[in-house]
Amino acid sequence: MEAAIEVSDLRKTYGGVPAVDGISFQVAQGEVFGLLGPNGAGKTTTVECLLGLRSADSGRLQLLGSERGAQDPAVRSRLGVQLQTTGLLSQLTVREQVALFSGLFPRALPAAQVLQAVGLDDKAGAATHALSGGQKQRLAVALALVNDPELVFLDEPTTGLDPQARRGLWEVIGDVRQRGRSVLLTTHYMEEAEQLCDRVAVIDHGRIIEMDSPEALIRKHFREQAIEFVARGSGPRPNLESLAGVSQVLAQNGGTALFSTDVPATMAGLFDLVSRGQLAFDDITIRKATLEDVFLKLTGRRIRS
Amino acid sequence: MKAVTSLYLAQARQFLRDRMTLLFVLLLPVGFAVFFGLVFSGSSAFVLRIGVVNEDTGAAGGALVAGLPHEAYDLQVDGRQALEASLRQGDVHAVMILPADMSERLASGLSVPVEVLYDPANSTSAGVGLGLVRTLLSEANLGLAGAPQLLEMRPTSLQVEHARAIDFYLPGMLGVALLWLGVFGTAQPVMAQREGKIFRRFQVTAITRVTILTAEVAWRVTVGLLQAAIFLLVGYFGFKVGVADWLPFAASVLMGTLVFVSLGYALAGIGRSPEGTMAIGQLLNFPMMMLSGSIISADMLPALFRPVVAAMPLTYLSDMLRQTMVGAPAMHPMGLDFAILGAWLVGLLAIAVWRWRWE
Repeated sequence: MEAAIEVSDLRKTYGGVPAVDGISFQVAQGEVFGLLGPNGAGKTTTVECLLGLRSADSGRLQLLGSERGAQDPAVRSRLGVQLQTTGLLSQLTVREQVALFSGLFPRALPAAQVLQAVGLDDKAGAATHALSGGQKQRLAVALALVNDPELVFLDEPTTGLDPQARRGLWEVIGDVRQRGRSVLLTTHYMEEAEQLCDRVAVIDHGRIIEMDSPEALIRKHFREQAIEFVARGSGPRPNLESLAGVSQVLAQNGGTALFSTDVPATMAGLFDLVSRGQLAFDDITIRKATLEDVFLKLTGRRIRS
Repeated sequence: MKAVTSLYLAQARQFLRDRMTLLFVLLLPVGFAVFFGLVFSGSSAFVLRIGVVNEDTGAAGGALVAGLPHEAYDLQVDGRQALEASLRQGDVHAVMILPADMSERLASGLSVPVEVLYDPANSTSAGVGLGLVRTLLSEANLGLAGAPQLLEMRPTSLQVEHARAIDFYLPGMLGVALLWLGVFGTAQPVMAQREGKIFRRFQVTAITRVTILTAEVAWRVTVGLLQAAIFLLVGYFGFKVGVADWLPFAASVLMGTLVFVSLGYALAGIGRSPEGTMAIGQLLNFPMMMLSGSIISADMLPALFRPVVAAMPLTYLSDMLRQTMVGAPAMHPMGLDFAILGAWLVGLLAIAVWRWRWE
């Protein structure tokens, strides 16, 4: 079965600075593939090169088996696209927007079905300029689905949304996945990537530094669990690396995360330090490692820093 | 076709629901025309009066005066002092002075300088008066060039029996309306759509760029025709201004629309930001409006401005619209107007295509 997307050694520079520096990946049909990285990592440039909105300096691209990719209107008719900045005619109503975009494809789903899919059916008569940020994003996703596309590009679809609106959009994307469509999703939300993606490519400074399923990536980098706490006081810290079971100590979320292969032994060591007055803390949590931990380990910084 | 229709309808909705664009492009120009027409017309029974001072010592001056048609205006033949006084009082609107050596110069095959006096304070009637004098003289010239009897003239209906301010301003402001369609109705929304990444979004659908531009231009041509229709309706029902010659009128409106819509696209291509584009637009808009004869008669502008007047496309469009709507005396032959507008269209279109950016 041909891949939905094939990218090989893609390069793009702006003023001599590489934005995309030799990226290669494949997205299988029916797969939700995530490009995960901080702002400026090269995710959007990659998407724009794939969509023909920017010309790559070099590299090979293939969409739905076509070498011409998005240059070919026949291929574009099988794509659904939500760009990071949504360009919408502000005076049109939601229903009119869907009708407009339906007219730009050879075949389209009924407007009511599309609006229902994104939960905007009750806003069909509302003017676009009167929608909230979350509703506009949902409309942008709706417009990416009007032609019942085989391959959907979603460029940071939930950026700037409140948690509730974000989860609402996750459901929409989940439905697309259920219907067996291929999706290329860019995000800097780790939780989003973990929830939605079959595979992710962790991208930083224009390069893919890891690529696998979220679970495999976590498993590869962390066999351990994380013990997180925020220490009280500003005195000298005891040597936490020497505690039993600890493999790594990372500063995270203003606190400390100990990655341990033997949580009971590490906890015993911590409480021993507390009882000897060498350490004090209010809260302590034990959790599994996440993609955020993977990114921190790979790059030395948090994704949104 | 489905895509062009969808985009055309979307553009129409976007345009018709934007109150500022509606106001500037559709309502303000006709409002100005009506305002100027009412403010500057003393009464609707205005009759144009032309004075002639015949100082010619030979027979040619008298023959010219005798051959002038009388149907379209009042003709007063009198001495220089009397007519100058009448001009100052506004009793006559332009005075033509036939020089003392007119017959002598004609006999020697020399051109005759005919002095024309007018009162710039009375802009509308002076403009129409000067136009009429020009027509009378060119008629006389034609006669001189071709006829065996040098000063025999054909009587010509000049259709200015009821020369009113509204007859001057309505066609002039229609020209300005088409100019504003370019600056406010094309350059501004095109920039806004580019800045809002709307063209960019359309590019990742199944349509081609040609489809987007076809729908864009088709809608703006529709707006040009809408503007003309509004002017005709207001003119006809409000002031009994009709159209003297339908086919050339329609051709003038279409040509004017295409020229100024191309100007709008060229401006949108040249400007780097919406503010920059509007600054350039205003830089062109104001002088074009004031110096093209649309609002102030071009005959009344100082000679210094003549090259500017002659260079501007609105000059020729206003001339065509006045000729075809109210049968006003021609500043230029219609063919020349059309040819110059055609040249502008080609030039502006070339700039628009050359400088076009999708984002």
